[in-house]
Amino acid sequence: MEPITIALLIFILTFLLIVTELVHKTLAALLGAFLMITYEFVNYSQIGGLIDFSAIGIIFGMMIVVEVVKDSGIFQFFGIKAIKLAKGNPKSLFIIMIIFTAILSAFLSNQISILILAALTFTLCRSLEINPTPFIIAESVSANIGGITLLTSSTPSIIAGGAAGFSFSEFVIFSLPFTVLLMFSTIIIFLFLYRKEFKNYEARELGELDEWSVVQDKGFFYKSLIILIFTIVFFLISDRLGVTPDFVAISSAIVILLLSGADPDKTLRDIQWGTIFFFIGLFIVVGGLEKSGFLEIMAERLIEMIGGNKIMSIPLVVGVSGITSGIVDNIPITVTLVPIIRTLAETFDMSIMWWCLIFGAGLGGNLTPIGSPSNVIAMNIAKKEGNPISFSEFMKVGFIVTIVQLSLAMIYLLFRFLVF
Amino acid sequence: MENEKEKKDEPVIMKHTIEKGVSDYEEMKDRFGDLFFDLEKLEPIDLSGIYVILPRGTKLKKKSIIWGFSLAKRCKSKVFLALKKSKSVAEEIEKISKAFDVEYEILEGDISDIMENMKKERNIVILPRDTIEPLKDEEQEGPMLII
Repeated sequence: MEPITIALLIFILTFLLIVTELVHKTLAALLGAFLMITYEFVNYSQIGGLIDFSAIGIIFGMMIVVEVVKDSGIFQFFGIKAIKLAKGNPKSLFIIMIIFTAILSAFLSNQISILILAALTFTLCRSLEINPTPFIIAESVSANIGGITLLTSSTPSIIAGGAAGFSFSEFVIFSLPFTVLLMFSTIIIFLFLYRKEFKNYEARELGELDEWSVVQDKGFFYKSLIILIFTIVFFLISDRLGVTPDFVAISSAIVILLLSGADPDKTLRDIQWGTIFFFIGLFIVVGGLEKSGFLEIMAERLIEMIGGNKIMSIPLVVGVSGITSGIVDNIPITVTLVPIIRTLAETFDMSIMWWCLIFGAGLGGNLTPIGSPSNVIAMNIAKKEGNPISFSEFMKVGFIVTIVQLSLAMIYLLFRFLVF
Repeated sequence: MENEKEKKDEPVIMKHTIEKGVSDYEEMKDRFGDLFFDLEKLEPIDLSGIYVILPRGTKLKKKSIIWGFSLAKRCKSKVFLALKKSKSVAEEIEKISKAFDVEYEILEGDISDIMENMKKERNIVILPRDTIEPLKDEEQEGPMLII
């Protein structure tokens, strides 16, 4: 068997195991890495070069920051504050929840944002006697929008943004106008699709909701707030200071551990080491596939397809990354596409290719309930709460939303490419 | 039966992600505990009665009774107490009933008859946590509620 075929088979096997989770996805990635090493696509001295330590540094640092800060109740506090703005009006509540989910998931992982918002949503919907389905689907979609707002918002953004060498401020300046546009378009689409439901709802008194009821220690709450603000400011000015985002993430983690009084042993024990080793395994698997020459062939084919028509490459990459991310988890898709995008970006001298991947992989997850881990979790929470959302019910909305969002991404990227 | 079979046959993908997500969700809901209780308070559940069942030997007798009356007040319903009546207990209950301004009735019949009656309408049962073997050593406050 040709070495390239063996590498491809190892990659497909790893991917299938990750997607189906027949074994834990960390084990699947490590098994794939082991096979790549066994079949000598990668040797030990090359491993360090294949792993994106900058991305791992950001993920590790932010995991510590979030792990410490989440216990302060700060995110729940602002969740309740946001809900109070709606004054018991279901339509206002819906709009606020969409916006708040996007903001929250810009700072937290999409999964944690969904957990917080779903817990609030089901209780609120029960109190207001309204259907939680549009809320849950909209929050899943919105969490994926938030994930493309900041360099640190989601794993695909960290990996692709890091590989592109974008600074934090560069990233936010480019993506923020687009995410605002996406958020408003999403609100309009959802209100239109669920217009009949919202027409029947009336505002109901939610009474005296006390946001402080979720805060156990006010001192810790304020400390966490200050540290979060400090981290964001540090990220924003990091390129002026000449430091990289991974340095900011890790130093913020150290500062928060020092100031919060959190037990470092406990915090380090509680962070998701499985996720970190999942990435390490995944980087080795994709590195092995790259070294086998397969990804180079794929990139060459893409270059041939695009030919001299650079503009064509934008919808093509957004579409490919978007649709594949809609079918399988967008993290392995991003890691796999990074070497191909690097070749395309260098060949055509188009850094915008990286944005095609970030937007495509980030938004494609809205296509199906299994497009992103946060969707999967949201669907299962809905089932647990006695309000199951079927695959087709999600798809009916997700398909329309994803097509509109990916089209908007193409238009926005073409506009940026042609005008700037 | 068929439903159960269907459930078993249902393919589960992303099993680990789902398991972790659902357990984290439970944790998140705990975080909102007090707030959710406030929300329920604003929209009381329509209940016919609050049944407080107090087996012998419970150390959470008074706490469970107060919980029962407090919930009954919120839901504008009546308290039914299944317990071994003594003079001191009766006085205590009378005092609590007056404080909460909630009606009550002491049930001294067979527990299976009480349970049968209870199932006829929309009721809630309060059981002291320390009488339920698997929950006995849990440090969590409050009795156990079974709807």
